[in-house]
Amino acid sequence: MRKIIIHLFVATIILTSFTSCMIESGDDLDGNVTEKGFELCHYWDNNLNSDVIATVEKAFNLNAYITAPEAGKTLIEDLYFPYYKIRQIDSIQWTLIEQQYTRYRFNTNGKTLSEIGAQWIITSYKNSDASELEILNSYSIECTGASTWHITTTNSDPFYVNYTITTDSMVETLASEPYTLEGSSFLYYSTYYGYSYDYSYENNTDIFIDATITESIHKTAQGYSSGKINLKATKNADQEIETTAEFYRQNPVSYKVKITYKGVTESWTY
Amino acid sequence: MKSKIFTLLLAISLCLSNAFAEEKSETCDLVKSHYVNLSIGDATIASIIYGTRSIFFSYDYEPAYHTYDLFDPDYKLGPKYTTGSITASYYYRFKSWFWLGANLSYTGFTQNYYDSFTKEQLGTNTNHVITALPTIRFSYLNKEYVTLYSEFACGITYNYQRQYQKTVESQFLPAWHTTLIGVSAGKDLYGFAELGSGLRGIAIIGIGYRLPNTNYKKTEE
Repeated sequence: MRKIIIHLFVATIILTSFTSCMIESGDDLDGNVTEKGFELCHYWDNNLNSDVIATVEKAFNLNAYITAPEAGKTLIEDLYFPYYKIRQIDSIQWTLIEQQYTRYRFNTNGKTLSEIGAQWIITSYKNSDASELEILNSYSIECTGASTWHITTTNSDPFYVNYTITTDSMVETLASEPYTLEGSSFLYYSTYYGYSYDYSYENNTDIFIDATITESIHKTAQGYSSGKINLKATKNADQEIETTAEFYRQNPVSYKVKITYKGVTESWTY
Repeated sequence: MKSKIFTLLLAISLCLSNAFAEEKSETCDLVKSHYVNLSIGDATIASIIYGTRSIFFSYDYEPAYHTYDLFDPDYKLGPKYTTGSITASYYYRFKSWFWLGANLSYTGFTQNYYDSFTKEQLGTNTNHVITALPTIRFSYLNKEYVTLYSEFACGITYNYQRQYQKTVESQFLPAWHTTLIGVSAGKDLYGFAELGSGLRGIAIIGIGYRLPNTNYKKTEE
């Protein structure tokens, strides 16, 4: 018994002597110092894809539906609009309805997207029971050349999008087809929603992302294979960070980005 | 299955009958004694509830989509340390099976912030959790040198947090601790080990001392 007590006593002394236990190992202090730049690059990417490209994609999908022969329309509808009802309002206007809500309205100006000079206006709406539709965002897509489209915002001042998308040929979708992206944008990004959903100046989780592509960005179905972009994030007018992201493909399956932030350049797997 | 339940109930009733029986001569001098303990337990529960940042603090709500504020200084977090849950206790043994007492526990957490580029230490997050727990204990094996017991404690905890570049926060919250099973070995000086759940930890070991029982007079030789 005395032995047990002595052992317990010694154990207690030892434990209380070395009472500071590590419960989390902490960050790697020697690497990943450009993490914020990488994060900002993700914000821009999310912004671009969940907001701009997702809306433009609907235009390409609808164009495929409109131009498809009658026999092929059902296939296009099933492929690209499984959750929507397609409605033609008049000779130039179409809508996509999700459940009972109008989610997208298209003004085609009577032309298909592949015609040079064609300009479509796409307006997306919030899911809302309000009697009047609440606009989420609105873009103009203008075909400026063979398989080249100029995308701009139509009603989002001071926020803007000024991108040019070039594909190899007329495509039905941007999701799986390669394309080249050029231009710039100034958008807000809600760190609460993960994308630019519903901007309000009161919401201090919103940041503003100023993006300028300095070398054409090439996008494949798997990721960004080349290109360079300057990104600046601002918040409350007096806080800002800047970074440069250079995309490259290390091998056919490994997509990387070189982030330069505060003079330090590091490579990240994208 | 029925026989297993019957066996279990029988075992419990035997324990209880033993517990509530009149003190046997071998433990008579232990009754109406004062006990003081010092113990240390893991900080698992305190860490889950408080960590370096309490889940009950709602200031500066951080949304789930970003890992940190882009506009904070460029920092990295060092390892997070805890003192473990250090507890000083006092018990008075009214009956051989019935004890009342109080526990005072301290659990500390600390984590340094470093500048990402210069590696210079920018500051430290600290969190102090102090818990006071009135405790009721039932012992169901009461031998002269060995005691088996369970206990339940309910009290209050004070949490003080100093976050790097944030305001200092403090708050009081209800606290609890349950010892499912505890065993102590020894008489005047004893060691003990407990398994339970609460702010004192899940696994606890410690030492204790029984103050001399001045009221007890031996009547038999």
